[in-house]
Amino acid sequence: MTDDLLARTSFAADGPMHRLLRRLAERATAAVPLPAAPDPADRPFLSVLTRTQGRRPETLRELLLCLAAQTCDDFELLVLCHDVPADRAAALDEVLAEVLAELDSPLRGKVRRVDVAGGGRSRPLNVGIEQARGRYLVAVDDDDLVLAHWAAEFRRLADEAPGAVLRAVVAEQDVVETPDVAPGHTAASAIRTPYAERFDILGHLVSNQTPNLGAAFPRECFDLLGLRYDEMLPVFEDWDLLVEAALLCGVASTPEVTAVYRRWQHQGSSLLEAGEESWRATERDLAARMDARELLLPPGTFSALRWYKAEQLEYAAEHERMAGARDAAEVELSRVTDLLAQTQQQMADVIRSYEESTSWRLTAPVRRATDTARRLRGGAS
Amino acid sequence: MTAPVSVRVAVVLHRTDRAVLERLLRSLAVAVARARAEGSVSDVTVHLGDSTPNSPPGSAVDSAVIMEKSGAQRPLGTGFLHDHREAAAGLDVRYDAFGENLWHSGGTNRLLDGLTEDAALLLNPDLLLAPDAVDRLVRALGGDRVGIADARQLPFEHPKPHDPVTGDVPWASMAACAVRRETWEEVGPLDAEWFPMHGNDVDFSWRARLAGWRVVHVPGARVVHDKRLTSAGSVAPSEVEEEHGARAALLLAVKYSRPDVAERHFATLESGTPAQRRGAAAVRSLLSHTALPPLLDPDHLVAEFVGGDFAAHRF
Repeated sequence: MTDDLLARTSFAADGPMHRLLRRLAERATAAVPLPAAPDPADRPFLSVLTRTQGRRPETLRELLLCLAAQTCDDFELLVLCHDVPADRAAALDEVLAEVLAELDSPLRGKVRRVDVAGGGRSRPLNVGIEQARGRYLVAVDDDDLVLAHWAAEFRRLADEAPGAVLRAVVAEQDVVETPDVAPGHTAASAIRTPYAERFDILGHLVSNQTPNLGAAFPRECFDLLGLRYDEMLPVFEDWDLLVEAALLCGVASTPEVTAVYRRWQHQGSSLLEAGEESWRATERDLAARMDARELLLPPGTFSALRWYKAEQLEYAAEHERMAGARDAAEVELSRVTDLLAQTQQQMADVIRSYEESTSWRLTAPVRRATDTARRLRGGAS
Repeated sequence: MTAPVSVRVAVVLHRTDRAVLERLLRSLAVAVARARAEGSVSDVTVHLGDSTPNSPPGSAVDSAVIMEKSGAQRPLGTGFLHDHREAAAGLDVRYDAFGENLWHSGGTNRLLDGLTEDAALLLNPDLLLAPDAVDRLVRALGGDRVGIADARQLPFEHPKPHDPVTGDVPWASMAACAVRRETWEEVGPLDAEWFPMHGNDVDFSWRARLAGWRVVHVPGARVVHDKRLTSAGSVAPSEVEEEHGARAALLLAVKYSRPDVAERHFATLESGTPAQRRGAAAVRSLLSHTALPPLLDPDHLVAEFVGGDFAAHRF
């Protein structure tokens, strides 16, 4: 099918349609199939991929509690333990053991621990993708929190728009470490909702409006299209994947807030670890990568782009009008300034010629006598 | 209070879905087993009180039928208690349909009537308890003059301040807290007339503190409270909650000797949302028909009114 399409579009081998098909075909050929299920109906609805370095066992415990409280329990959880050193492994094991063995919840029997060695931030997610059994996949970090209807909202969206990327709103909250007080951290700000209520692909080209835990991807994104988190990216790997998947699969979105992304105030945030300049450089790299691709934009984009372009043209025209008016005003100001200078010069000349006149000099004694008499009459004024 | 202690758990239901109640009971069974294993808890009885009007009468848990939010009636005994015999075996669960809406305060008072256990554990039905939550809450009651121990709620931590060392907190949420029997006997019951739903926790905590009891927050005792957020990021109140919130703000100011605060709140709430106006009107009516009880805290030792809050919040 793909070969046939490629052949049929080869009349315009440098055209966008052929290039897009070629890129998709190359990706699909290279895609590593995800594990098969004996019966696709046996797949859980959702695979939750949680990467952890074992640094924050207590926040992981809280995430697990939130997952245990889900109103939709049709999910599996893969805890991706990434280069966890021995001194952290014990605390992590304790948390996992408690959940796996003790917490009698829908999580029982659905949690798998996967040890991941080496690679960057994205390596554990890609390892998780290749072991996930769910029909949709979502990444949640070990310090994130989810509301009890988080999975249920994804499920509702999947029923409405099968095969699309599923997107809900993520709130955020600052958190600080409290090493001396259990459980070692506490909220430090009110909850904010800085991200767009509805998914908008053009808005996402400007900045990422969807943290990882707000987007669930159909497994076909990885299985058939061969998408993965880019392990070369120090940051923004989630943004990169989301935009690519959204352009290919479309997005079903809800304004419901279903999760809380916790922003560490002091240390441990990916922003601080990566450094602001690294973020900016990666942002430029992503833009360059996007520029090199053909983009499949969703219905409605024509009008949206037309509106943005019309706004930009109107703004440019207005800017030009303002610039013209400013130039004219500067000319007029210059003319008036010159005129004023000339007038001042003329007035100075008149005063000087008057003061130098014979009549002015001859009447000086009279003026002095008049001044003296005025002072004697009424005092100095 | 010497460990292990006996505990009576009080859960007031109101149009509670069976799945929600099962979630609570499952986690409670695990948390009780953990507390027993740790030696902090001995006997535990769970008292479910159904405040749903017109709910089928009954007092036997095996034959209990609860009315859900949708109006559907579901037998409780064929749910968690039937399917999870092993977990449920650790819990002595009792059920009582009140036949009328006693609200949270009236229902809790009914369930804690004649409290003989060493401690009471007050829980909302829409919770999931961490496995160590009961152990930590009950142990906290062993602290010097600690009368009430307040759990940490997730995913939305309450912004009221607490002392990081002692845990002392201005008030405890009745959604998830433990109360010593002596405190309940001395300070209880909840003020069901003035604070049937909201404000009962602030009122009870302040009365306990005036009586010399300490109220402490236990950040390690975690519970998930199934709440939703508005698009602005605040917890979404129902109309009834908004009305009762307005009512509580006014009556707490009246009861705790702050007529100036009450007048300010009246001015704001009487020009507020329809639910707030209803709450303010209900208070006007109550005050015009009821003789004021003795006002509390005339020297303003415990009661705090900061904006619309009852403490200077951390954020």
